[in-house]
Amino acid sequence: MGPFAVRLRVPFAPLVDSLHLLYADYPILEDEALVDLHVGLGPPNPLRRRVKPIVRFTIDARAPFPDSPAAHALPTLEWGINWGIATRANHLLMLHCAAIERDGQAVLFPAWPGHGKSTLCTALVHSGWRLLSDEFGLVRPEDGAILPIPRLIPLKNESIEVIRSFAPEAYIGPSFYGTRKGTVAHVRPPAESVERQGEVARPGWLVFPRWVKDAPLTLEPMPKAQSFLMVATNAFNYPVLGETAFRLVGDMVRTCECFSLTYSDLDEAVTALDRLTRGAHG
Amino acid sequence: MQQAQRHPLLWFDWPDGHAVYQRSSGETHFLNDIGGPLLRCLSDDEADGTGKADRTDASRCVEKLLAESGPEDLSAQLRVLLKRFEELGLVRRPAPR
Repeated sequence: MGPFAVRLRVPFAPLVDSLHLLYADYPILEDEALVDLHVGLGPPNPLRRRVKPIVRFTIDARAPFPDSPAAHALPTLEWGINWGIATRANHLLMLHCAAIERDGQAVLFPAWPGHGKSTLCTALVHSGWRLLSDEFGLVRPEDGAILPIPRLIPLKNESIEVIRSFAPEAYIGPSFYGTRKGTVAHVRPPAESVERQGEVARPGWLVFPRWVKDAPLTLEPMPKAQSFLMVATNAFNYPVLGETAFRLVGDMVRTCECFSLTYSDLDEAVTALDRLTRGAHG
Repeated sequence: MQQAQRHPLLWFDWPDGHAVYQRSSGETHFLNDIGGPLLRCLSDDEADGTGKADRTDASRCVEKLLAESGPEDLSAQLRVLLKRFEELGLVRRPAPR
């Protein structure tokens, strides 16, 4: 998965089938490969399987979370892998944002939960953009490049039907009802994004999205100091990296064009971002 | 061999504000168009030890504060700012001569 080698041990048949479908395009590592995350998910106690099926997520042989209902196995695994990356990959600056790429330049979408980041990102990667990530803006300290990590995109609640309608070609896995985030379904990243997960991009735009029901589309320049504040406070490990993070975020804000985007209609938002970024190339 | 002294503060300056990284604490501070120039003047002065830092920006911000607040509030506001800078370790009070 992007710059991380992950070993999955999933002795849980229903999940194995979903994983084969959703992870179909990812390369399989050789046995001797160095592994960054050893992840597992399965029933903690075989005797409980028939009573009240639950699953336990483990990472490096430890279980950091309470057990989950077996019916939520896939969301549990996905959240767990994200948690593992967010808490361990401190050799990179990790922004909490979606990221897409075209012509070598990345658009980053830092956003708080519920602001429509994943829905917008899914629409864009089915409109000619390459998925770098739906969750992590991985910034390489040496040169500020954005490293791709094209993982499954979790859609929530109404967004699932919105994307089915916007991009019927998108492969969306099963829906999981009653999770801690409501109904969740995962979009498989386009195969090309996975094939090109070794190609880094330069940050070109910082766009702070917000979905507001029935709101007219607005795409307005965001002041730079405000942009810095939003990116820095939205990063997973800004305090851990200290001066390195300060320089990386500051340089990114200095060189990127920064905008705030309010939208309710996906087609309008995709068109506006297309115009914005095409304009940069003349 | 003498090692070059690193400035204790790193800056990014924009028209709508200033981001300042404080090496001693690992904290990032956000300052407006009054606090930014004031801190820069004070910290440059302290860092180079010459007492000859360019005070143009600081003078400008004091003038702005004066225009916005009036002379009664000016000294109170500056006192609050300087006290906060001192609490955070961004500036030090000069030793009595």
